[in-house]
Amino acid sequence: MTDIEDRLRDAMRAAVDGERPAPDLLRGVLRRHRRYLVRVAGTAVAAAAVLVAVPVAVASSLGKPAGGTAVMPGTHPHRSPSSGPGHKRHEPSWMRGRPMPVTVNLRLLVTARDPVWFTSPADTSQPIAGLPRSAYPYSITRIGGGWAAALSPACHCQSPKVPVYFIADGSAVARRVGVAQAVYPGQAPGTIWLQTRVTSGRATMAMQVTASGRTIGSPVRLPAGFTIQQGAGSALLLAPDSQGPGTVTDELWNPRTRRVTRTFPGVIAASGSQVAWGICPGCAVHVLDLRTGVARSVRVPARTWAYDGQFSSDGRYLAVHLSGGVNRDGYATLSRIAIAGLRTGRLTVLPGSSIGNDLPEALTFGWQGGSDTLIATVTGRAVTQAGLWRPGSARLLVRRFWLPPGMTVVTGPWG
Amino acid sequence: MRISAAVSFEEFVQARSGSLLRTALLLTGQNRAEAEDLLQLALERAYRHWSRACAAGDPERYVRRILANASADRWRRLTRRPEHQLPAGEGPGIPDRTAEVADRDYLLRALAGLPPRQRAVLVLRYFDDLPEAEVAAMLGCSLGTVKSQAARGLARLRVAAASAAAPVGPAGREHRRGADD
Repeated sequence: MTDIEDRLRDAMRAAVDGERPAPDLLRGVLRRHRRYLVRVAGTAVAAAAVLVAVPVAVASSLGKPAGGTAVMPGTHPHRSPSSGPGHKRHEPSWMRGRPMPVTVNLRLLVTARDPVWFTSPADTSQPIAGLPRSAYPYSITRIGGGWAAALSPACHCQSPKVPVYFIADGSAVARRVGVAQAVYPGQAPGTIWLQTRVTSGRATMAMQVTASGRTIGSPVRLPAGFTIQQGAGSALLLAPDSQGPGTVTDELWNPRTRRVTRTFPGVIAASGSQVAWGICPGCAVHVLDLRTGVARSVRVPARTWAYDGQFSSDGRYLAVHLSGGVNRDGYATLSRIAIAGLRTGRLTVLPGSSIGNDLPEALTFGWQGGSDTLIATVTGRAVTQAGLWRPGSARLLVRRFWLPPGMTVVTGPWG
Repeated sequence: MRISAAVSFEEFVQARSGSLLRTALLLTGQNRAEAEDLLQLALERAYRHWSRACAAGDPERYVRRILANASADRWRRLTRRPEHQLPAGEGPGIPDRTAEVADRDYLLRALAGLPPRQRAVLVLRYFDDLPEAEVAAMLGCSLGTVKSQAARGLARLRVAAASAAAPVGPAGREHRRGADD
């Protein structure tokens, strides 16, 4: 071994000794994987468009003079100069709508190192009592009636069970509900599934608790290789831990009989009483009411697909991300919000909610607790834009505000 | 869709991401943001084929291979970071009172200035302590290429280290970290 090899080895070890990844690494990987799945879906749409377009183009060119360019009516992919993976803009495009009156008071949960409530237009933040100080941002999960906040693990060790707190909508006090490795919404508002992998074996256990930390029923041992997505009726919606490329199929699993009662390929949204699925190009969105067993379908515009949705708290509406056109590389050029009225079965794109898809994660939305008001946010480098929509409104109400560095509004299912 | 994997992806990330991040840091010239992004990218790609990664019996090797190759591809694409040789006598830093620290610092910056493939060979060989044959398998090249890349890389580090140790002349310029940026 030469001197330079030893020196290099020492230098490399000293330089990175003790370095640890951020605690939300896994979450980032899964988020990235979801974007990958959306891109795969987009590629499928583009491929399908080409298959349809070629015969049309040939037929059209037969009647044209020699050397003329064949035009593929209605199939030429819209190509946005800012679309595709290679082009990253510094700022997302913004939602468009009517300026939000100053009388509209927004109270938004914001993640910093510790979650706080941010109020606009006053631009003030209010701390939440009962949460210990954390070196890293808390993991936030939307639960009916509030939010679960999980403390980030102090170590990146094998079983980082962390304390979990419940923050009721608008409340300035958090309450500890237990410890877990992962947190998921329960069937009823204010109920939480705490999931923990048993260190000694390969079993994953889950326990449902109330917002005050009281346990509901007995702990449940989950089928190996599955993780909870949502408490759904008397069952649990489970997703496979390891997901290959293509459509992921969730299972509705009954903990009493330990049997799978139904499967859902490409789940878009789930609540305690409803499941929406059908994340594939051109597919209708199917919605099953778990209480009545009634299934409905909502058609989506051609060459688009719905993904990442959320049911309103009264279950009457389903808000989804809806892809826009597809560029030549198979990437969606737009992301926008669409609302499905589950009584009417109609899907309505929210006017002004389209943003370029070069920063798809910039647009998030969620239903405000206990109301049918949808709040969407677009996060830029320094500016955040909020958009408000209520059923029957023709346009969004929009407002921009500045958050202190390191703060992000949480409106979606997690943050 | 039920996939039986020997190790759950979540467990793997919890257990091994620290070690993988340290490799990623060295592969990216200790750019923390780049390293975390590279690690995320490698883990996401592994996640797509996790059952396959586990079936091979060594998922870490699978991820490490993605990491090493993705780092080279990534740097090839990032033209905003053109590779350049360290000119003799123009080191990015000079030894200060703590010669050892300065030497390490100099070596690491010289390492970061190597072409991506050469850097990957040195990191896998001397940080991850992998045998040459394994490095060759990971990077998809021949054993001879690994040997020659390692030899060239070490030679350039030797030259860089020697020039750093050379006294600064009367008209010598002082180069501080970031002064050339």
